[in-house]
Amino acid sequence: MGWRSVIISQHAKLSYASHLMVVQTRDGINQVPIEDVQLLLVSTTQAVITTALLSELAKQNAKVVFVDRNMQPNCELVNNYPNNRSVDLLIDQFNWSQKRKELLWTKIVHEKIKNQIQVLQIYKHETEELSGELEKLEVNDLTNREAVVARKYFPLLFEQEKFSRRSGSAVNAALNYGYSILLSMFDREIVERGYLTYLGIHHRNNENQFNLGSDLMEPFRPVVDYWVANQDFTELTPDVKYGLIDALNIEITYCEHHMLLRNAISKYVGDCLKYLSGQSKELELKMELNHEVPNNALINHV
Amino acid sequence: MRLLIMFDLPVETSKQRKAYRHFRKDLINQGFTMIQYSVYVRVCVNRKSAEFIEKKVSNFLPEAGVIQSLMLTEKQYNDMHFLLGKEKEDVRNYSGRTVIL
Repeated sequence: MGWRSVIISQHAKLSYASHLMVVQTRDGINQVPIEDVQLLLVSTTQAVITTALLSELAKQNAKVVFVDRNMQPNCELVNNYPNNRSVDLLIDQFNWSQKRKELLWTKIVHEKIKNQIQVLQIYKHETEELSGELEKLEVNDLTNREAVVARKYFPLLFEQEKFSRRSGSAVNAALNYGYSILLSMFDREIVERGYLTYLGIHHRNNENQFNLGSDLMEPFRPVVDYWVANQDFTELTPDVKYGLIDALNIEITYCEHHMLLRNAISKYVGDCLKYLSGQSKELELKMELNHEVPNNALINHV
Repeated sequence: MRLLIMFDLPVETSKQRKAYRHFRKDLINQGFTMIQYSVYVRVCVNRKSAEFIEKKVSNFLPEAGVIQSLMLTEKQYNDMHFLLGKEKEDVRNYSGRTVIL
């Protein structure tokens, strides 16, 4: 139900009163209806938050993300027992057929590479080499084209031959920030549908609680890249962060429908889970970026 | 999309006043904000959700009085002129999808 991202950027107290999230700051009191909140980012370490509010937000399946002292997102609130999780659903998740997992992973990688190519094309870079790699994609990406493409893609997009995702540059910091916000949105959708985020289809890192989210988000990463590549900054300033969160409202085309990124994520996660659990036989994933000003931005939001 | 609720409720007997207080409180619980006395507004994502909330409101109406609702698009609402006074500065009266506090 939620459709709003709320960012807390200053010293504040967050509490709950009559179905509203009450935010007291130095400037005064603000109230936001709980059911409107989809993502609450507490982007400061100087906020207090009441347990009543946390539990109400969890009840509404809102995602709450906290940051560390460097203002990078570092933890999030995960619903323990969403009311639609049943034993049957979990058994079903543990028994997802290997074949379906592999086919879905292939589609995901295919879609990711396609989107990467699209981002490069929007910024008028050469993409022939990457298209060649895309054609070599095998079932379950046995030859790891995903990594091969990524290694070529980032230096191309950011026009630096030595670009490395591991360096501590501002661009990397921004990408990491955007990805973690994106991941939290996927976790939200997965938990809302009653599934566990631990069990992925390709990622199986023991220390990653969000393997499934990390799997499913792959095709959407290029949206963050697309946004970051369009900006010119040398430092990860608050404005860049707010822009990254606002990027959830970019309009994209998903399965031939124009929709906001946050709504597309919801639909996409639903489609993937339905496919994995055998409720749908076919799966069509097709997303495209629209490089234009969305309609809702012109008529004053919503 | 905006859902506007305007009401005139009788406040002669204590029973009527109680009904009025309850109705007002319920509106606030639904996320409405007061833009004038007896005029409340709520931001909705689309017409469907506005209709849904309108239905919810019609479930807690008091017995007597006049209550009217009106749905406006964001464009229509923003074209409203302020002949006197200023807009309420409240997050609930803001329709952006990203709110920075």
